[in-house]
Amino acid sequence: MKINWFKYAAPSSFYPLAGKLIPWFMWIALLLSLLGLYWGFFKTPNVLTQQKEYYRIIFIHVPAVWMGMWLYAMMVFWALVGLVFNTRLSFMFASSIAPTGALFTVIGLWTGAFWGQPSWGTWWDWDPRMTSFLILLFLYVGYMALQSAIDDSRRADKASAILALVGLVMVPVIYWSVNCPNPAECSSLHQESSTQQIDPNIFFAMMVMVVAFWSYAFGVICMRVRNTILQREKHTSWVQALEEVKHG
Amino acid sequence: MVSSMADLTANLCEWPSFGKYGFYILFTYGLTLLLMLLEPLVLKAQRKTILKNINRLLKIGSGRNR
Repeated sequence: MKINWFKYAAPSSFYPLAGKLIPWFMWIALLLSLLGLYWGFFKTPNVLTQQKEYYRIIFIHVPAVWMGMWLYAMMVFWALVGLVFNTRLSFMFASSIAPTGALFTVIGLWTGAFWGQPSWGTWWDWDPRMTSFLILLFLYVGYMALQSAIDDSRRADKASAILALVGLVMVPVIYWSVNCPNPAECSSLHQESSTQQIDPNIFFAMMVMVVAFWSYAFGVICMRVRNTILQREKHTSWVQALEEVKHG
Repeated sequence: MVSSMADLTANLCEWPSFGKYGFYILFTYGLTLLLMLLEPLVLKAQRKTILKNINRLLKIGSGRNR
């Protein structure tokens, strides 16, 4: 069977598909979160190297930080597709990803502060990883502010897409801020990535939470894209013919 | 005597998986859960408002056509 993927580039085709996908994503997110947290609290050791029970913040902190970066890359991808092919749905996707990306960035910063206090004795430090991650949050906020500052949605989409593209430089900066080739040049409170050396149970719980967060992100992004479609296409006949509009 | 909010929460929740760090773990998980629950609820409310607005537009349109 041949699937015509371009069919779903039209908002009228994507809208019902997204509606069907949302419950699946949300249920997967809920079940995997429960599994990940159960595994993280009951199947893992109480001590991780020198860190005591508070290291369990890892099951939220690391997946949230990864999501903050990946969602930014995904937002730039859709913005770029929109700029190149001038497709409405791509821009809608990009603008719908931004608030969820910002949410995960806030969660990453917040949980980092609550992990930093018991382990480093400070809520905040201007170390390269934390500072670059804070700049990522400002980029998300700047993107959303620019988007809402311009009335014409097409112009807003293009202007904010360019801003997102420029800001993409922060993603490798965040990654290299702890994995830099010469540690003397970028001393950091954060240690280098060490996912291969970690206890398998801790790693498993963390990966389950990553998939749960992805599923949650897809679910809420689909919800927001549907809202954006309704808002922007409200004068079209297909939106006005929708059952939910008639009973709205 | 409980000297701070951190001590109070730590005393209240010395669950085996928390150790003495209940304050930090509960605040981390609590805020994450709250934010992740709020986002879909806000989107649902936003959707209702949009649908109502479109419905109002349609009624105004049909009134003019009469």
